[in-house]
Amino acid sequence: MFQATRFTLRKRRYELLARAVFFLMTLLIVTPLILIVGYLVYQAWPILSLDFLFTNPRNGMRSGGIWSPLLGTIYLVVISLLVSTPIGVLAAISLNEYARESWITRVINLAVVNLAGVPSIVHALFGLGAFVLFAGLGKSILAASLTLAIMTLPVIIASTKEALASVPVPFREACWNVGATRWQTIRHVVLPNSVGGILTGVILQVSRAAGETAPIMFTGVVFYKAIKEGDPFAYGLFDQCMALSMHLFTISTQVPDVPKALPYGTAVVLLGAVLAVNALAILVRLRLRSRRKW
Amino acid sequence: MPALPRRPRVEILAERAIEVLIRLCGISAVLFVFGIFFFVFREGSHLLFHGFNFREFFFSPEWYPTSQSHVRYGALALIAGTASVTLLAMLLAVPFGIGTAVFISEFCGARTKETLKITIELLAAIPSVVWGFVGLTVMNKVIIQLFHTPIGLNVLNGGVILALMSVPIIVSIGEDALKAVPDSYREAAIALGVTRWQLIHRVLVPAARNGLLAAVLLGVGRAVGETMAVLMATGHAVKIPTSLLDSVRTLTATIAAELGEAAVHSDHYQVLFIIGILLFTITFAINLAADLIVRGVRRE
Amino acid sequence: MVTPPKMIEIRDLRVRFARHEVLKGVTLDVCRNEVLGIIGPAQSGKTTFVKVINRTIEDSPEVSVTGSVRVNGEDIWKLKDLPALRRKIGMVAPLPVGLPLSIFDNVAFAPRMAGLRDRNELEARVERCLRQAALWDEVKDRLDSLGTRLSGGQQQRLTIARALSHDPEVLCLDEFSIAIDPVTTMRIEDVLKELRSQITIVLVTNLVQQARRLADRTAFFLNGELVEVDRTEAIFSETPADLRTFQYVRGIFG
Repeated sequence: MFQATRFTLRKRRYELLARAVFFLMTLLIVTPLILIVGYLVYQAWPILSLDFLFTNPRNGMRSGGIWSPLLGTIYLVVISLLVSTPIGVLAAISLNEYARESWITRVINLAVVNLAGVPSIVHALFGLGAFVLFAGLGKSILAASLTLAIMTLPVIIASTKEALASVPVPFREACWNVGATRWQTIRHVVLPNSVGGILTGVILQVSRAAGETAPIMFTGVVFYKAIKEGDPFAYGLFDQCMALSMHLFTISTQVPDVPKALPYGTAVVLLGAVLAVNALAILVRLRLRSRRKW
Repeated sequence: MPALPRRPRVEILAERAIEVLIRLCGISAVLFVFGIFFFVFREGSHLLFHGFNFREFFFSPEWYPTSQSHVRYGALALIAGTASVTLLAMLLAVPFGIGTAVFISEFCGARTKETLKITIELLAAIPSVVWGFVGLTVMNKVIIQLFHTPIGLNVLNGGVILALMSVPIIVSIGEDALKAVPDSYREAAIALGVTRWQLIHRVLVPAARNGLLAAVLLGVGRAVGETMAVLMATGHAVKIPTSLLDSVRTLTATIAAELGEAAVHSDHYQVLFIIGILLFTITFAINLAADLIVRGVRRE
Repeated sequence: MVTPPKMIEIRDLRVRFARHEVLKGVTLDVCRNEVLGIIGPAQSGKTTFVKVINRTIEDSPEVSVTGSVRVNGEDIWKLKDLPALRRKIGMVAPLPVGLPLSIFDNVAFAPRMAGLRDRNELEARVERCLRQAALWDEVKDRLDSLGTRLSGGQQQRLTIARALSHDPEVLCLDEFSIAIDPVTTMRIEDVLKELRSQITIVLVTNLVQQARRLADRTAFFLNGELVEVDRTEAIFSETPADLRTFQYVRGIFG
């Protein structure tokens, strides 16, 4: 019979100890998320309501709601993704389906990785120098959206590449063997089976574009701008706008005597929107996995 | 049986057009990286080549860009600010991040693994301005209570917040690195009768060390480049910190705080762009290093 | 114009992957409407050889190809319309592949890409090809189901149906039986026997006996060289031209 020796027992104790240590480390990282969300919601509770979402900030932003920042963020996100998604997807197709392994592809891959690591404030400087000044767009929703587009581009390229690469090569070869061109193969076999992965990547960038502050601070977003409440078309492309992320920054650091619940409410709406969008992306990814065609 | 027809001309032309578009987009990423460097460089270049005092910039802690009498652009305090906050953040984030990566990779069943990975992903999604807000409100109060300082916006505050922000990237890339270690290593070690801890500490971590190093580097890059959170959480004192409870200003926060007030194309404006060039170079170097290390892994 | 007697003419074909020479000066003709068997041990260049014919070899990394290859009298390297060449050549790969489309769309894929849109013509073509590939009876009631859900043997027959769907003049099979069961292998061999009078067949196989059963002429490849090519009876006789042929065919090495 296997009798536990003293050595085995000691080993088992070390195993449990190791497990406990690593578990605690993980717990220490995970609990802040829950605590933060909980505390923010708790503090924001008195002010959260539909009215909050659809009323403009009033009284020097000491009361009222978040309508104009909310609409501004929506504009910025939609326009920036309308620009970066097609370019990003086509770029990924180029890199994964058309490129030959060579020094050129390696440089491009390096460029994509580096573009992803550029600090957000440097994106702000670039947006200022390139779109606001050089292209003459001035501080506008358009300039700010283009800056956000450059920021989200590399991740869309990377996640699209991954989605394309998950389609097995034998499918492509079978298509080429029967005389389909490269584009026909992509259009009819590769892309339709990559849509889920591409969608996940784009959705994740929605939340990123909504949450960033620095790139839009100097390219088109302002402290305050009054617009018509409840009108979804209140902003124009060359207008300046407010944004949720910037608004949170403004009322928590730039405006004195703001009632407590207001910044918490803004934070909760922003955080809630971001987490909801991410949860959507995760759901899409899980659903994908079960609907694989091979 | 009837012969196959030919493809309509329009279709062939459209296909060729799309392929041109695809090729253009392919080189766009390179264009944009160069573009970023070019435009940021452009705005700061005049001063850079006409009398920029490099010595003062890198070695003097006296940052007085708006002084009426004696303008000085000594960025040493700002560099120290970035360095101190990043260092603290890494001291916290690296052990916990890698510890969590190990836990997820080696101790978890599939279900818990999935839940934890989703949690980490959600943690990564929190916008930096919200983190800054947390530092401004929650951490601020905690630090004031614990350490009895008049204000809680300092290196400690910024460091902790930055650590929480950097952990997800360290965990996710670290977990990938551990996953890439072949199961045969694990099987061989277990066959020799080692404990879990020995397996991790003597076999897996050394085997995955390149990927783990890359994970840490990318975490550093994230921390160095972070703007809003440190702007809101570290206070506004431009001085070299001597304790964790000192307020500091980082390079990134300086740009964000002062760009709005600097007249376009003035000296102050250009110096801020020069700081931008410095940041771009630092993060570029970090990303390059991480990429080379990971490339080295793949060759093994 | 006089129809050239040879379907495929190959002169001094050399293929190199980076430093490694895979085909070392192969000169070979494929006659119209014959079944040419290609035998030889692994790594002798057989797969590379067929990939040259439909120019899919160009997609391999760091490849360089020299030598002349003519299909139906035309130099394939000078052709502008690559898809047209590939439609002349039907290709069946070693591992069965069902595209992630419906069975109908699998077989209709090639004609559609070539420009055929008429539904009735497509249906007629799909049925004809599936019948020729001996798959029609098994799938006729579920043409909408996914091609990837078929068994290996069925997917290989589906691949043959796909290969036939674009009216090829040459059908190349590269070790088609490697991943399928013996019963399906026999059924496919019957299919090939039916087709042999209508199209030219190049049959690469690692089963020496399969060449003996089906091929009119057989070519023996060894280490990138064409050792000899002759009528099948000669190759399998007591006195082929080369000793190595004699040895390989009898399993002395390989």
